[in-house]
Amino acid sequence: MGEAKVPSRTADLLETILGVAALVGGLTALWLAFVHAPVEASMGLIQRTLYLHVPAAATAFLGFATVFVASCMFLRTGRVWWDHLAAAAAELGVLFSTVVLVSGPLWAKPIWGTYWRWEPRLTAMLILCATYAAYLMLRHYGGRTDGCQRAAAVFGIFAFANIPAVYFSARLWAASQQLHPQHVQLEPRMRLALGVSTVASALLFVCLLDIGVRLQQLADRVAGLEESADTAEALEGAATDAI
Amino acid sequence: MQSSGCENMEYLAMAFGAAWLLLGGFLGLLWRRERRLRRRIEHLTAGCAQAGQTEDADGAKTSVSR
Repeated sequence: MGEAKVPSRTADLLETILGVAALVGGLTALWLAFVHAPVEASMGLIQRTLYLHVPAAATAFLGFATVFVASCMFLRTGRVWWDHLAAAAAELGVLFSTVVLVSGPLWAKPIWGTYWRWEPRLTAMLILCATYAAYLMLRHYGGRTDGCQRAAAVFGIFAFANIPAVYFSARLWAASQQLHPQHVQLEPRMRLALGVSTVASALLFVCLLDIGVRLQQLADRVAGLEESADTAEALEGAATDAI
Repeated sequence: MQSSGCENMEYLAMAFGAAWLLLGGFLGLLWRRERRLRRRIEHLTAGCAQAGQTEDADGAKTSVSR
């Protein structure tokens, strides 16, 4: 499984550019969310959680979609780079969906009067996060074997079925069972702040994904070296026995 | 629900604070993982060199040289 190697200086430069872009995007998003966007009339300040909550959800979906595509590509081509991409993207998907699950209840408490209710979208999001946490556990405890990588790829493909369940949950169930709104109208400045926050979040995702893939490659290299060290030890043992 | 001024400021601060904490924690985790892996590579490379093994120019593969 030959890997295309990016020269380390180019990779470092790319990582730096991505990091700076994510930082600038994040600072712009914060300015737009807290200064440019107006205070929402009925909810007040707490509505600004929207600029964290929704971009985090979109980025979590992006992470899980990346797992889906990378898993399909890994099963199709057998290139280990796709497996590394899937593993790194799943970690980020779980991170961003945890942000959603933490920021959501903190927004819900002053508006709905409760941190949590088992309504369709909240429940679906919790199941989604738990599913990918299970995916990460499978990868962690399964080791870096081909069998585990293939099992994780199949898991990653089937787990993606949760995404439409979360996305359409607010529309599929009756409005009486929902706390989430079925349709949202935003003022143009709010839309701009939300759009820039989403782009900044996606940039942060790409930057962290790049680091994650690099760490997966390092872990693979460690596994290779350990295997070689074991082989050398076995050969040495055999030679000593022969003497 | 009508709301104005700094009402619910604590919930907003907690939401953003928790997000930054999670992100910072994750970055710390990545940094620690990289340090641990690099230390392990150094250790194993030194061990392999002692055992008469060589690493190719890219450092991607090792082979037994006997």
